[in-house]
Amino acid sequence: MHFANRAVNIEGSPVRKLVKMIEDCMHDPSIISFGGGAPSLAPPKEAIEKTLERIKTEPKKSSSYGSSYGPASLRKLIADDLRKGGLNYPADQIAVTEGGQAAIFALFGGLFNPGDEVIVSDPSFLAYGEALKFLGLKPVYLPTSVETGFQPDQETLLKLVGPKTKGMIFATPDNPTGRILDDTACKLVADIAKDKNMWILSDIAYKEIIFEGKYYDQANYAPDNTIGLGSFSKVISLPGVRLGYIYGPKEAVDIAVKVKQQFSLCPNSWGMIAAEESYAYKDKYLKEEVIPSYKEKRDVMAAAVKKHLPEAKFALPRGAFYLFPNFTPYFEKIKKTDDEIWDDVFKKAKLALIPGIHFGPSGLNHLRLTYVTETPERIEEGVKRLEKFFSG
Amino acid sequence: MRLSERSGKIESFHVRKILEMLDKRRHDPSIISFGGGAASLAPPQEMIHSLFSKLKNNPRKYSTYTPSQGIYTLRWKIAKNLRKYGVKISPEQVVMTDGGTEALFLAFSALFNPGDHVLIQDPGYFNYENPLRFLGVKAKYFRTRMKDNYQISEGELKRRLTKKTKGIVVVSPNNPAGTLLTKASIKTLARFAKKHKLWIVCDEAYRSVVFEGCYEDIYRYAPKNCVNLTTFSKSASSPGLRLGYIYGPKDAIERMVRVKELTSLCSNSWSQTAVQEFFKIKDSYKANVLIPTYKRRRNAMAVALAKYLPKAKWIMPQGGFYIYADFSSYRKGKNDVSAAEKLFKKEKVVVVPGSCFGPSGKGHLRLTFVSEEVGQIEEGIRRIARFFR
Ligand SMILES: Cc1ncc(COP(=O)(O)O)c(C=O)c1O
Ligand SMILES: Cc1ncc(COP(=O)(O)O)c(C=O)c1O
Repeated sequence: MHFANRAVNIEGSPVRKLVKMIEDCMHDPSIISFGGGAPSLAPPKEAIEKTLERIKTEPKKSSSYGSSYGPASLRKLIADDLRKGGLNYPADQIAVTEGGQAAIFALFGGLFNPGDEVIVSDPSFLAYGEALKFLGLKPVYLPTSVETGFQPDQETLLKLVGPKTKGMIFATPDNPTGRILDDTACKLVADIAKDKNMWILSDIAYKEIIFEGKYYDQANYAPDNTIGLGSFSKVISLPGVRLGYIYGPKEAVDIAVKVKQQFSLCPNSWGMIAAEESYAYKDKYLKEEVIPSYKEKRDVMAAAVKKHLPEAKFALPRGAFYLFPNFTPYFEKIKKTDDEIWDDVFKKAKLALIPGIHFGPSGLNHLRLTYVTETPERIEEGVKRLEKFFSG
Repeated sequence: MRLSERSGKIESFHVRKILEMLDKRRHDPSIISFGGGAASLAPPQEMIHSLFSKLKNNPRKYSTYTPSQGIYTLRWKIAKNLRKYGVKISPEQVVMTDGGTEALFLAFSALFNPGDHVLIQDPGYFNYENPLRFLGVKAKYFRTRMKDNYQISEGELKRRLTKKTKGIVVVSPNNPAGTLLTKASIKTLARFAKKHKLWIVCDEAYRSVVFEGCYEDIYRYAPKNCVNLTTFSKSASSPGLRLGYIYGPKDAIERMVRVKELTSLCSNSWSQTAVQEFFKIKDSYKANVLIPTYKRRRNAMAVALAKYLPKAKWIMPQGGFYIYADFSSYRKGKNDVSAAEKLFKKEKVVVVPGSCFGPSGKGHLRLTFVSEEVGQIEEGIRRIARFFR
């Protein structure tokens, strides 16, 4: 039978291969996982207890259909939370989505026409390119590198902007580079967007998973051009409930919701109760559990890579879950493609990870190493295995 | 700032307006709702309890991403359950979705190219045309009629077939009409699809809500041409969980999984966990709670309609949540949209105009019988009768 070209042309996500590897980890404790993108902590205990209580008291009401935008009560909590970070949006400029992923898809579908070009920071989250291509849009990669802290460069960026360029997307903190856009970069991006009448999509899925430094936002400089998307997956460790949100100019939010209605009637109700309940505990949870745990692991991994793989180049990530070293000297010694190395590392070193090339062309010769998943001891052990692997 | 043309083509559902009306209902208990499509029972306690104990024991494990295709053991249970209907598939041929809504989007995205034509049933569920249009696919209606019990006629399909036709969407039990496709219809459809190399997308959202007769699954008659989808919104009374699934040939499912990685990554882990438990008690929940409750309400509505609105024409629904009646014999019933609006304003009864379900719906109204208790159902029908007099 026949299939749609748009579906045939989707490149199988490397994540699928990784999931298979990670499933193997569960059965084989000797495999160490530097591969996933899920938090390693349990969600805030009190929030879960409150959630279960609410479901139990009102089983029917809590399991029913609702507005595609999400309930007003949750949107108000999101508005309050954004305001604390200096972003002022009334609740009617916010919509709840089925995770950050659905937000990305709905925004691409709602803002751009087939044939339009969208600038994607390179390397960055791997789903952007595939979602753009699926919708008939063209990702244009903006190369960034460890030398400049993965910040966008003005000259490079301007060269990429053409008559078909209608938008740009940046994650901050970024996956896989851990980069937080600095103030100069935000201003630069905002100025170009205003000048060329472009949308800026600001992916803040890792909002608040920040260890050092300050967070800046393009919305402060170009509020009419910026539409943001957040997620409950990383910050409160609830990826399974599939919830996120978008905020921005009302017409953009409305159109994204319309697109979203084509593949989802409304976000799931139990998850939204958990999201609501989480706000009372979020700050404490982040301060006492999330940040200390992830920061310790980040430091252990960074120190281990420095010690055992001294020729790898990386910037200490200031946020998110990943270390993203450039392993060029090591790759050159082995003379294999990135994907061959991927398979080999898994087979020989029993280490699950994702080659950087899957995050964009500039990711060549890099490996993304998730530091949040394993214990400090196993992180050290994993890096040692990598060293052994590279030394043949 | 500029927005996409594609999204401008999406029409807001009339049904969205109804939801807004219903939202007001919270403050006004005198409104009677025959409008929505939500299950009116609570989900089975067992589902909730099972999720609770799992979340207490291992909150992280049950709150993390699942594979995009869905939890394997759940897909295994689904495949096993379908054997009862003569459908032989493996768990690889199932993908969990965010309800029937995402299942439809995945199917349309994976199977049809921009410019293709797809036949959709008139009357049928109102949410096929918009996603098809969003994807650049053209929906064309094929007619089924009350006098034929809304069964499928090969002649009608032939008349609508063009070189560009790549698929047919059917819904059984029908929303709005409540009829099930008969074995004869199913065989006609299967033969036609095979002959013309068409996909059949079969929306079985209400396959567990059948009052008389047995659900006949089209899949076994054309396993290479069918993708079938359903949802736990109706069968497990849990629309908020946003969980359904779609099954079909392995290569079609693989492509849908790829699309799903872009739309939603994976379906909700809590919902999948709860529904695992649902399979243990499904049969007794259906036999002891779901069917008796809804059947009582269906019968009450049917009796009241016959008594108070004798000129309305309708068929006793065999399944689903709705009675779909032709009120065009009443003067005020000829314009269904204005009748629905006035019924809400004057009589505080929420109904859905037939035009939402296809061009043949003019002069029809869809009345949901699951939402209200028997006494309210009778009162609602009396109010409609008062309006039409
Ligand atoms: C940068 C970024 N954005 C969005 C997402 C999507 O996450 P979710 O759909 O779980 O919210 C991820 C997940 O890995 C991510 O890394
Ligand atoms: C025929 C039909 N298909 C699909 C759906 C989608 O429902 P859900 O997305 O809740 O599974 C509905 C809901 O009313 C329906 O009536």
